[in-house]
Amino acid sequence: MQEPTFLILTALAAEPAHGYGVLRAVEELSQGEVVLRPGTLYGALDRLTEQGLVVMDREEAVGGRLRRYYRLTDAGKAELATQVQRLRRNADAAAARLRLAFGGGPLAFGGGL
Amino acid sequence: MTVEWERRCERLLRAYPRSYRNHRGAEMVTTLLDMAEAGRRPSRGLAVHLVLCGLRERFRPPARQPLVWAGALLAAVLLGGFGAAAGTWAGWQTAASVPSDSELRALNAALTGMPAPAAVYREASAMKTPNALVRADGTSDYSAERVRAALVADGWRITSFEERTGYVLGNFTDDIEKAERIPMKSVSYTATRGGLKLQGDGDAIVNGDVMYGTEVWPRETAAVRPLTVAGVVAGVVAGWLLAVAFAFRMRDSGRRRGWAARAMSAVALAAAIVPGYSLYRDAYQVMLYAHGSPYPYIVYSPSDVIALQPWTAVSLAALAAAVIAVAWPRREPAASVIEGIALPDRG
Repeated sequence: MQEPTFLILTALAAEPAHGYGVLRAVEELSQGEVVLRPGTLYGALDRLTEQGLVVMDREEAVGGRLRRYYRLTDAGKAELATQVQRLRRNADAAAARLRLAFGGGPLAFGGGL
Repeated sequence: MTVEWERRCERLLRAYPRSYRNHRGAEMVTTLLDMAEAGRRPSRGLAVHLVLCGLRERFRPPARQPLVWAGALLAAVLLGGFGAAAGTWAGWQTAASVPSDSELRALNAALTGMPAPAAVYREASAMKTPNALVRADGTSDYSAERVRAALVADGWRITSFEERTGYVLGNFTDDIEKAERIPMKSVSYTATRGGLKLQGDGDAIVNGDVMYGTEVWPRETAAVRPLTVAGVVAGVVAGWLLAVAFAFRMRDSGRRRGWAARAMSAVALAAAIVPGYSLYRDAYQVMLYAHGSPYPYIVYSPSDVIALQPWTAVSLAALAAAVIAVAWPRREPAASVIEGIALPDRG
């Protein structure tokens, strides 16, 4: 799974969000490293919807503007959990290798993993 | 600013297919306006991004419809064949035009000394080179000077001129040994004029019977083969885009109309395989044709043994039926709240 897709699923994990809400959440979650543009976002939402990972939660029409809110499906939550486990496993493995490389000393990035 | 940007967003989103705009357009505009209000200034980069995403979306068939992939692929390949034929035709439009029938007859009369109207035959070579042959049989004297002078007066530069003497057998019944040998003079000539080539020959028998044939054809221009290839590419892209767009129309047309259109589309594609195959064979011959614009020659084509018109007619009729099935007006359902604020559909 590519990083933007992972971040979109993460953005929808806690509560439903609309298009701009997802864009903002992805930027915050990645600390500004990933800035999605609308074409990419909606392309990803189309794909995730087709895969059954994301579903529309509700529509709101306020002031002549349509907002659609999206949420994770159970399959989406399971997929995100699987990805989290995979990333954690890989990160732990990488951290362990780095500790060996540095002779068991504390890691430069603070051992936060 | 907001109104102006909203209008611009709607214009940019026209890069997306209509069915996509109907589904996503309104919420995408909302997201773009939200971004602008949050201080993300609309930029040229964002505009280009939207247009590219929209164009990419036009290539994407509906999800979970594997038959659409097969149909779109077949449509792309078939339209590539038609594109090749169109490209070849366009390429030859850049070549020098073959003289008119009256010009050729005038040249023939000057060459042969026979003022009677001669027959003109127009054909196409295996490369679709448009060529014209003027033939004249009759009674006249033979004069090399007259042939040369006629060509030069018509603006041709003579590149070869060869005379031969021989005889023909005549006045015999069943014993060829007793046949009379009648002296004959033959002439062959080639010439060029601008982008045109000319080749002719004549047989003049001493008793006055003459037979002349002069053929004119254009040199191949640099555009013919590249435009043939470009035609294939353009046809493939157009075929895929049209098939994908039509697949969305069929999907959104309701069950009965959708299936009727699918069936008609299948008939249209199946019937188009025959002309499509023939057109690819023709394109293959165009690409393989000898360079240097030699004397126009033809090769076997499937169209020599298969009449392509009936298949093409069946294909077009089935296609028209499929289009009618999805495009015929039907009663509109009551407008919902969401439809009420959907993007105005400007095609």
